[in-house]
Amino acid sequence: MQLNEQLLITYECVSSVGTSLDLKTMIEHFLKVFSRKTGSMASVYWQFNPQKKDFEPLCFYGKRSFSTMLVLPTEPMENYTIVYDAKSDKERLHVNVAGDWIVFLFHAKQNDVGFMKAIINSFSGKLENAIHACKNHLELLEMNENLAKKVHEEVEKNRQKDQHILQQSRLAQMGEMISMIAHQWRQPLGSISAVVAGLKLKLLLNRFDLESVEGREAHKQFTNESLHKIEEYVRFLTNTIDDFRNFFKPDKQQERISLEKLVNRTLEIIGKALEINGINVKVSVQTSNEILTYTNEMTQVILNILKNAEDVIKERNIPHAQIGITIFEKENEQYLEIEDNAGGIHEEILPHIFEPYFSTKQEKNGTGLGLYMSKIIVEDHCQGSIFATNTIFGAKFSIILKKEDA
Amino acid sequence: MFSNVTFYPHTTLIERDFEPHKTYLLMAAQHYDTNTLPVVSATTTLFCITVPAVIWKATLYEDALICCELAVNTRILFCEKECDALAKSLASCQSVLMFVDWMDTHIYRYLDRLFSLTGGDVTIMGAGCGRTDGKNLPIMTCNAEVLNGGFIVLLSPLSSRIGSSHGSAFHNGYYIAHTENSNQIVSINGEKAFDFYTKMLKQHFHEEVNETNIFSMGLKYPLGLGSMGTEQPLRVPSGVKDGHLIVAGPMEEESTLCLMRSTPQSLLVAHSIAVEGVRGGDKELSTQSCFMIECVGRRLVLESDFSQELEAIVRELGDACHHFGILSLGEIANSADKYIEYFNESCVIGLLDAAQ
Repeated sequence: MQLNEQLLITYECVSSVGTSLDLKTMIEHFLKVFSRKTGSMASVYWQFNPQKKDFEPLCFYGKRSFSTMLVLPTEPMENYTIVYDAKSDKERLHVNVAGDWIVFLFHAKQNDVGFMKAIINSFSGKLENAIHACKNHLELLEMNENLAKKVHEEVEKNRQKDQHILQQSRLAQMGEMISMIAHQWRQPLGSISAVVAGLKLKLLLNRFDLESVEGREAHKQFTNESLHKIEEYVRFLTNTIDDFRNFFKPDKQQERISLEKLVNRTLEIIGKALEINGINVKVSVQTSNEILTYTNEMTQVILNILKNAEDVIKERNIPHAQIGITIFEKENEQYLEIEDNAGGIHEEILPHIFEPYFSTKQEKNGTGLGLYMSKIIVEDHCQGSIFATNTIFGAKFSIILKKEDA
Repeated sequence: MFSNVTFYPHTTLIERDFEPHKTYLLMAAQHYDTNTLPVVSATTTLFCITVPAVIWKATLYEDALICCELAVNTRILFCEKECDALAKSLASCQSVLMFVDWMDTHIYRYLDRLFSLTGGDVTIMGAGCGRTDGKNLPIMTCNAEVLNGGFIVLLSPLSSRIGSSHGSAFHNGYYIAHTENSNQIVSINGEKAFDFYTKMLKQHFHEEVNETNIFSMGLKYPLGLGSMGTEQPLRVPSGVKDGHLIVAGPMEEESTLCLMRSTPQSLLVAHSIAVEGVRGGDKELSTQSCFMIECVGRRLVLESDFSQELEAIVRELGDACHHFGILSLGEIANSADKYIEYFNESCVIGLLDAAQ
């Protein structure tokens, strides 16, 4: 009968071991089952803390009023030791397992503590393994936590780097913008200068007979015409500033717009510069359907590509320079293709042109961020795609955007 | 614990039976109509429990009520799962009397908490309350408010003594059981629990078990929980649900079980053990209240011999003592010498406010 009892209590205790990978939960469950089955009135698990080089109670089970009796061994003892306390007429069973101590308290007269010792000894291997598994699991969790922290730090670093890149990109774009404004303003400023010079010359040469009514009338008419021309040129200059200012405002909301309008808006900014450099721009529009997109950001992309084409054309002195812009629709997508006739991109650098800080024009203030930012805008912000290929004439950049209802 | 105990056979209580500023524990037999309880003054507190029957002297009543006026030094509380109120009230407690709904699935949790918070020399006795007539009526109330999801506990600063035993004997085992919801045995040795139990009773006792006679068979052939000590805690199968055995008491999810046998002869021995336990070798007992918690199953197994058991207890503990008690659906008896358990089919005798 006693063997039978030992077997069944061992079975239930063994079943209660390893039910959780959290050491405290697992030990609490084990202490509960062991107490209920053996009658132990109180028990405690003393865990060794390597930092403090001391034992700390991890969990307690049973009558709290007995907790002060569940002390650690005061002198070296075997792994399974029974200590009788005559004062309280109670027996303690000290069990050393996995470097920690479990202490059980029994009423001396009511229990055969030697029998309990034999029971717990019979499954000590499993208990030790389960405790090690919990401790290893905790270590793994801590390592994972550190890893997560490190990943978070790296992500934060990358985010800051991206912000830095964006800032650099904006500065570079501003530089290019100022250059474009200069291009745009050169012609109207020249015209204003010419009108003023004409006015001054005529006054200097006394070309108007201010004594006669006709002369005064002719002078008045010429002056009015000149002022009107100047006024027109100033309006053009103001519009140019407005265009650039709008372009620099970040988009908060998507707008419904056709790709044709986007291209036209971009050409209003860069068109004059292209014209001055003798570059002929041809736009072929096969669809005027609107899409929902961030207009300023997309303008920035088109501008980048056109500016790159202009730079290459100028650098390679391409005669009869041409840029072709084609807008068409296929299934659920709209395509914007920009192709130049500047000879194309070297095959070895083609796979890298969208990488940050990649530039072929370092000596000419190329930041290497234009196409990288273009890719971020098209793919991350607008959920589209952008890629470059070489044709027999030059480079072709294709932007694919989803139609609004797709 | 109690300053005054009154028995009301078939009587309807009226308001003047209760004094203001006093607290009462009413123990009502299941056929006593608790709807007739009077509305009392706002300063009077009436806790009421329902049990299958009450015991007054050596007689059993199914339609009576025992009214216990609490002594001034005794506190009564209804504790919910976390027992926070209890923790604050245990400083000078020596005796605990506990009542719980026998179908509550958190009984082990309550017992663990109660045992943990009470002192090293506190005696705890208690009972599972409920009905056997199948009526869906409140089991525990306080001033007509239904109490669910917890237990009633009485705390006294005076010592008590307890003795208990069930007398059921080991027959066969052990088996491995898997349980659910604390009191449902899903399988035993890998078989559906009811099928296994049916098979074992046929094989060992040539008895036919079905869903109708499961409780009466369960009382005769209860299951014993594997544990150290002289008597295993019993779990009486009391119902069947989807092939699972419903037992009268909580169980751990993985338990070992054995088949026990309760005969009138073996059960009758138990009361003597309980009496010896409560006397503790003293011939003269200095107490006025003897509170008996007798499992309803003992009456069903002992049948006419049950009254003999009650008479024997009264006789052996002396007529000077005030004898009263209840028929219960689960028993608790703990003298802080081992871990607390919930028993079935036991005879628990408590000498309240008795010197150690």
